[in-house]
Parts: sequence; C-alpha cells; structure tokens
Amino acid sequence: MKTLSTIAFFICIVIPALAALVLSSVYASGYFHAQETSIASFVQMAESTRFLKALGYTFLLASAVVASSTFVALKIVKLLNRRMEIPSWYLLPFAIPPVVAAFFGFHLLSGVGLLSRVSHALGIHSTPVDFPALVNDPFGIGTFASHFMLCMPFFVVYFIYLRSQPKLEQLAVTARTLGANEQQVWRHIVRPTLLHKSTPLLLVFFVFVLGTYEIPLLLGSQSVRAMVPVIVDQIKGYNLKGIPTGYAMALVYSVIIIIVAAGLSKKMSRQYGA
Amino acid sequence: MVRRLTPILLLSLYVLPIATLALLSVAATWEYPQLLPKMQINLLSRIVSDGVGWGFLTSLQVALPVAIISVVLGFLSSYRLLGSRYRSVWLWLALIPFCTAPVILSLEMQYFFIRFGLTAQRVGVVIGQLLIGIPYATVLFSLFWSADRLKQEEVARTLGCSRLQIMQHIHIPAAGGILKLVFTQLFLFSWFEYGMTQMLGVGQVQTLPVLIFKSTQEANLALAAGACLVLILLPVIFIIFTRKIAFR
Amino acid sequence: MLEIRNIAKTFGTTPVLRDVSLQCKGGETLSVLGKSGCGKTTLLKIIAGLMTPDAGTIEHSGKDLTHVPVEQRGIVYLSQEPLLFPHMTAAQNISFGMRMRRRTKEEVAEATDSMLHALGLQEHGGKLPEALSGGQKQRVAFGRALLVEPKVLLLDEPFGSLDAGTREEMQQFYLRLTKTYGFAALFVTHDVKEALVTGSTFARMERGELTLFADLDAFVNDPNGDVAKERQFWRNLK
Repeated sequence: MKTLSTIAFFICIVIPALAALVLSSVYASGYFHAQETSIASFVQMAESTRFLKALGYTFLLASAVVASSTFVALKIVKLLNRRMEIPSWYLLPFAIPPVVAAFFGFHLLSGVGLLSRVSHALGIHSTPVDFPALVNDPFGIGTFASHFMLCMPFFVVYFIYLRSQPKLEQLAVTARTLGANEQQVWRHIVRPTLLHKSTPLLLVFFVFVLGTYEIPLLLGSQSVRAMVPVIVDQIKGYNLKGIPTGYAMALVYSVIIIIVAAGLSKKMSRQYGA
Repeated sequence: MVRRLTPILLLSLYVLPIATLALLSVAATWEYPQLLPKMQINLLSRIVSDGVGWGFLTSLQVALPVAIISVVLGFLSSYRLLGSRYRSVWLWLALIPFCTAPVILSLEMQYFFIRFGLTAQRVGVVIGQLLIGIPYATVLFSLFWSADRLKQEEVARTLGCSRLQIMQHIHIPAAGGILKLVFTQLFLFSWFEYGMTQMLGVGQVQTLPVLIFKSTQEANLALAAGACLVLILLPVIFIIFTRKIAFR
Repeated sequence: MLEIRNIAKTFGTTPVLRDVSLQCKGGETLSVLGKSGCGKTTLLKIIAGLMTPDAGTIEHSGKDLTHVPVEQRGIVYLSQEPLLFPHMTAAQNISFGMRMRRRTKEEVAEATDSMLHALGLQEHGGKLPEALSGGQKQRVAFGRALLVEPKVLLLDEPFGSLDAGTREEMQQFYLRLTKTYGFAALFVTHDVKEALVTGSTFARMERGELTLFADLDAFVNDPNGDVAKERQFWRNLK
C-alpha cells in the first residue's frame, strides 16, 4: 500500500511538476526556437523593466491584500469578540470565484458602474468621466478591491473559528484571572494566537494573489500589470522571439513558488503534522 | 451598537454582489446615469438558450471527473505522508503545483498537450486540472494523516491486519467527513477555474467562467451576469445545505 | 517463550537501547520499571515489529521473528491511549481482529459476546468509543487484543491516563485476565506499586539498559531501584 501510494505520488505530483520545470527551462533556453541553448532570454528578462515592475507590483498587491484583509477581519472578530457558531451566510462569499469578483468589481467601480451612478444621483459628479478611475487605473484600486472582497470574508470566518476553540477561551479566562482586562486579553492573548495559528492560511492566500490572473485581466491597467498576465502575454503574444523570455519569466515565478511552498510546508507540518 | 451593526453591514456587503448580478442578468439596457437597469424577465430564458445551459453542462462534465479522480488519487498519494520522517518534504512537493497559478502550469505543460492532441478537448482540460487537483487534494488530505492515525494503524497491524485491510476497514470509513469536504473543494476548484481551461481548451471548451469572460468581452451584459449567477448557484446551495466548505 | 537477545538501537548518534536481552514465559508477566525516555517504548515497538533493531534477535518458541512482518507476529501492542477505532462500536472494536481473519459471523458474534461479559461490558457493546469512560475504553482495548489470541502482549503504561481508583481496579482486572488467558506479557510502567502488583518477574530499565532480577526480593532490595527509594521516603516521613 505504501509502495502504491509512493508510485501514485510520483506519477501524479512529482513527475508532472518536474516535467513542467524541465520544459520551461528548455523553452527558456531557446532550444525550441533556435535549436541551440543560450541564456539570452534570461538576460532579456533582466534587462526589460516590465517583468521586474510586474514582479514588484504583484508582491506589493499580495502583501497589501493579505495585510489589509487580516487587519479588517481582526477588527470585525474583535467587535464580535465572543465564541459563536458561524452562521451559514458568513460563508456566502466563498461561493464567489475570482472571475465573478472581477465582473462584479467592474460593474461596481467603473465610470458607468453602480458606485458612479449612486454618486451621480447624490449630485457629487455629473458625467462618468468625472468619476475617479477605480478600474483599469494606474494604482490598481479595482484589482486590490476585488482581491480584498475575496480574502477578507475568508479570514473573518477562519478567525471566528479559531476564536471559538475551547483552548483559546481557556487561555483568555486564565489571563482574566491573572488580572488582564478585555483589551489586554485581546492584545496579548487572542490576537497573537489568531495570527500565529492562521499563518499557513495567510501564506496560502499570499501565494494565490501572487498567481492572480482573471482579476487583473479584467480590472488591471496597461501601466501596472500583475506578473501572471505579463507572462501569459509574453508567451502567447505575436512576437515569437519573445517566447523564450516568457518562459524565463515563468521559471522565475516557479522558483518563487518553490521557495514559498518550502516555508508553507514547514509551517503546516509543525502545526498540523504527525 | 457597533457590535450589533457589524453583522448587518457584513450581510449587506456579502449580498450586494449576488443582488447586483441578479439585477444585471435581467437587464435589457442600463443607460447612464439610471440607478436600475430596464428589466426584461424573459431575458432569463434567452440567456439559458444562448449558452448558459451548455456552459453549465460543460462545467459539470469537467468538474465531476476532476473532483472524483482527484479525491481518489489524492487520498492514495497523501497516504505517503503518514508516519514519514520526511513529511514536510512530501508536503512541499505537493504544495508546489498546488501553489502554482493554473494558467502558468498549463503554459509550461502545453508541449505535452499539443503533442498528444489534448488541446481544445474536454478530456485535455480535465487532465490539465488534475495536475493541480491531485496535489490540492493531497495537501488537504495531509490534515487527515495525523499522529493519531499512525498510532491506530500500528495497533491494527499488531492485531494482524494487512495495510490493505487497514485502508479498507480503518482509514476509509474514518475519512468519511474529509472525503466529502475534499470532494466539494475540488469540485469548486474545477467549477471556478478559468485560466487553464481557456489556455488548454483554446476557447472550445466553454465552461461557465470561459463563457463569462467571452460575453464580457462581447459586452453582452445580461449573458455574462446570468452565467455568473448560474456559476455561483451550486456553491451557494452547497453552503446553505451542507456548510461543507474548507478554508482554502 | 519470548526470547530477546542483544537488542540495540541508536537514533542518530544517541543510543536508545544497549544490548537488551530478556525472556518471558507463557502465563508470565515481566514488569519493566523505568522512567520516561529510558527506551522502554522503543523496546516494545521493536518487539512488536513496528521498528527495526540495529542488532539483536527476537524469538518466540524457538522461531526467529526478527524479520517477520508486524501483522504475522502474533504480538499485540497496547499503549497508554486505548486507540479504539472511533467509527466502530465497542463490540465492533473487540471483534475487529477476528473479522479481519474472516472468521464466520457466528464465531465472531459468540466470541465477542463472551468477551464483553468477561470485560463486564455487556451493556456497552453498542456504544461508540466517545460514549465510554476511560476505564471502559481500556477494557475494550484489552478485549480487542485478547480476541486475536496473541502469543505475547506488550503493555506500554496501559493505565497511565486513568485516575487512581480506576487504575487500581484495572490492575486487578489485568491479573484476572492473565490467569484466564495465560499469555506472556511485558508490562512497562514507571509506577513502583503497579510493577509489583502486575508482575510475576521483574526488570528495571535505565538509559537503554535492562537489568533483570532473579526474583521479587532481588527487585525490592535493589539498592539503586525505585522500590528502595520509595521505602526510604516512607521511612523518612514523620
């Protein structure tokens, strides 16, 4: 049985992942295009600021989304500050995938979107052009808002779930008996425990935002672009000579994922492992 | 006061997208600056005949096999983690594809899909999604293979059980809850997937997310909104009736 | 008879077992007294086949078991936690080993019923483990082990998680079982009184080394042993 599971693990997981990396390397080396290998694509990638900008922007976006969602979710859980059964409707946002979030984000935030219409009805502005650009904008506000809408409700539910664990409640009671007030219990016991226990989840969301595709595709601007759409454009674009560079970018993305996955596996093994 | 208002605010925030989509799916026109679109209820039947019905079926034809195969192979693969000294290494290997953006993985593996004639076909999309689905299921099942599970296996072995018997009589019956949960998660992963489906399906495998993008680009507001609604319908039913959603 | 010869095991660079040898006859319980971390769990897991030794042999009735797979050894390991299968009732847990051996339904039902009686659990057969008390769970674990008719029972602090009253009750229960079923047993504990009550032969384990005693007197009078320390404690108490 162990042998069978080892074989299944290698065939279903290790070999495809390895094949993907090898293929990317071969593509990036330019072998499929020039029948010879070189590191030209990596040089080109390093020289073009486009990828580096996208890399930096995506890291910033992922950090901002995870940090702000965590901050707001913690505030909400603090306001609710009690053990509770999670009502079904708290799970409603889980039914919303990125593609729907992007579609809704567009119709909420664009110049002719719902917010613009409400603001027009309130007499704040008169034409769609006057409404501030919230989608396809240079600061990526629409992209950020849509990701926030996907992450924050998840964090709220997860924090409520952790908050309701009997062990945390016992710790809170112990702190109270030692003379801590509610504010101190929250600041020194509950909040640090919630953050510590949810680190793997926060990392998973960070890595998902790093790989975001649908939302920036619909709501992103041409000036700041996320990493994955840039890679896809480079590989699927009209410039055939640019394809190896696209794969070099994909390889860099994969290396980042490999590093984050290593950290995540350590955290998960420590927290949930046997 | 604020404590009482918080759930109400959250509820409004959560219901707003669904209400907006419902409204847009029956929008014949929505001229600026009108707050509400001009509604035409019979648009719904047109939307279904325009492709949402087929999109629903195609999504189902992709998501069901992806969920079933991922659960079976993920359960088997994840068993490798039980009692392993290198548990975190195995987990790391499973996390790599799990964390990779599906669209990037499909670009990296495109050569094989073209070579074996799997592009523009449902089966190709299913195989592509399994490249992420199986590691995804493996990562979720890793939570099941705990220290207690190992001790139970050791007891059963000293009682004379083979590993196959242990799997059949101990592990699988005990895994009932997590099997359902992983199935739901994997179904939803596939149900929601866009990038890989578009890349490997080359627009020919029109699942609901692909249809949403296509109709958005064609500025077909009602069709896109209708497809969005149908896309979230099944998960909403899952949530209301089973509450079987894990923390992804 | 169980015979262990020169078992050694090292984890990394730390030796956990050093040249351990012992013998245990059928119907006999060898009480092994040792503190946590002395290597007793490793020794039991090696005898059960759940770990492989670096050196040494394990024999039963002259047959070498060192490389025999766990499931074919006929040696059952019982730990501090009862480790009942949570999705099975008490009766299903007890009959588990027999069912795996594909015995007929009638045989299984009859044996399970009489075991439930022997364990004093006749009214609890239909309950899931979560509905049983600590002592009841441990009784079910014993019943589950005994129904597969093991050659040897390995007991790793089996009553360690029970309260004092239940613990005493379970020690008496254990003595009744040894008389009825006549199995060879290795009973590992850190509790002096428990070692004295349950054992018919005695040993002490310290830093991976096992010291066997010729009889009860030698065990009780061991100047480095815990019995001597315990006596000293009571003598000093005013």
